Amino acid sequence: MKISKVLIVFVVWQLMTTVGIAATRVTGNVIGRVVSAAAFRLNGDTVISNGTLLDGAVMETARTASSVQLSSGTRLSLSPASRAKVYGDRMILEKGETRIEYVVGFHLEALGLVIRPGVRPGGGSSSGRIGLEGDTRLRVAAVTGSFLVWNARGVLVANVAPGSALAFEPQPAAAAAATKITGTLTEQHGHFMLTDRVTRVTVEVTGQRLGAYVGQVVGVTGAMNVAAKSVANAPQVIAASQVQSIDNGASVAAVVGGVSAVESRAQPQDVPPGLPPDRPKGPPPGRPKGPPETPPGLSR
Amino acid sequence: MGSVFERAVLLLLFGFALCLTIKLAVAEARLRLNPELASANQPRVAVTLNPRLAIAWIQLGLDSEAEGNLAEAEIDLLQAARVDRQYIPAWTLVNFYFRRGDSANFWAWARKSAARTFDDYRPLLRLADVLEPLPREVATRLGGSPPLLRAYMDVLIGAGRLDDAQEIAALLASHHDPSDAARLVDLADRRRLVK
Repeated sequence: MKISKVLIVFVVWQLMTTVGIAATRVTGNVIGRVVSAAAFRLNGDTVISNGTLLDGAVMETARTASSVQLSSGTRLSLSPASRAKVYGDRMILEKGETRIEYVVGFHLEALGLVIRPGVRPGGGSSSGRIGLEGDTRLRVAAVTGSFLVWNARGVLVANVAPGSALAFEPQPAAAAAATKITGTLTEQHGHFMLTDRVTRVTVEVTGQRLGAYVGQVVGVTGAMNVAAKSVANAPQVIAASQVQSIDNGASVAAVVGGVSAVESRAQPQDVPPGLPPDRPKGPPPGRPKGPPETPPGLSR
Repeated sequence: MGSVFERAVLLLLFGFALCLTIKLAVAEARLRLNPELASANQPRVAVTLNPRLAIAWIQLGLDSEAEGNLAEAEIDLLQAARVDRQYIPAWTLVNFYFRRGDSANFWAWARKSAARTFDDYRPLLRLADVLEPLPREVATRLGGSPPLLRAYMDVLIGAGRLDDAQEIAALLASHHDPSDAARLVDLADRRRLVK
């Protein structure tokens, strides 16, 4: 009799344990966490100090940056007055700016452009700042490592070098193939190559009388030939409609893959190499006393 | 007798103050001797100077979690909750246990967090709703206070889960608060429109 009671208790205990274990396996869509020294918005709700990110979470900051740490190891921060949608493998920046500190299998999207960290020779991750300037312009500043920028159709638009910054503006769809690049024209096995000075994208140039310009700094205007495949392994082929020698020191802008790019001056906020871009260094997160304040701009 | 008691209290207070002063002096001396300590580990220095600084314990816990040291993270976060029995440490533990998939501790701290929430219940409700599919169960586990039920109704209506919202509305109606009448009627209208 006593043995059967013990058995029943044991079975019930086992069942409860099993149910408990089952209940612990339901948070599979957690992608990371966010920490801030002040209140921020998460999926439209006001959150204080820190919160858990589920796939597709919408984050919005007010006056204070929020640090994001993803389960993959990616670390970034959303600057003040910014908004973004965060997934496990990407962030869609809708407003403001983000600082990339460390990325693993992660990319950023904004204005239809895709920004991925370049491969660093010694390993490690690229870091930098990526921000929207108004509704039509995106600034990409690489601090350590480079960033590759692609347009919506998967065409490489720029390779932003460490320590430099470019501002991008996608052109109307009608001008998607328009290309305007500047650089020294070279010849490799009968093919004409040019690496644009602004975007650092190398293209193969096709057209009439190009041989006369080899070794010169030229401006090439033309259209991207999507159907053509470069025999010289360049990522794209440009059919030149106009080629002209230009002054070596002339200031330039570029249009590649329907996206205009200009060099952007370094800003004081650009973090110098060696310093981690953003992790709230001041007061640790949280407000221990009193009711939370809803930051300006975060309507309840 | 009274004077002896007063002297004892004064002596105790003096001793307490002296201990704190010595502790601070030692911590300050350690910082002076090793300035790198301050820059490398600010929260650790902060809790050395003031062990009741919950926000520093929270930072330490979150840092440990990021480094994969979950046991230490839990200790630090629980310490934060010990020295500060307000909302933020409890909310941080709710999130910590949610991320770990520790439902037993999640619900224990979620209930405390709900009791200490002075503002927005929705972030807590959204996490709880992920773990528990039955809205009535979520409401019960979190204490079922009228403000929480109202917030939960809003969350469910916002998600288009009108039948679930109706379950919560029934709980809210049981509190017989006339100020909820409009909210309940609104839900009924929404459900009628959908049907």
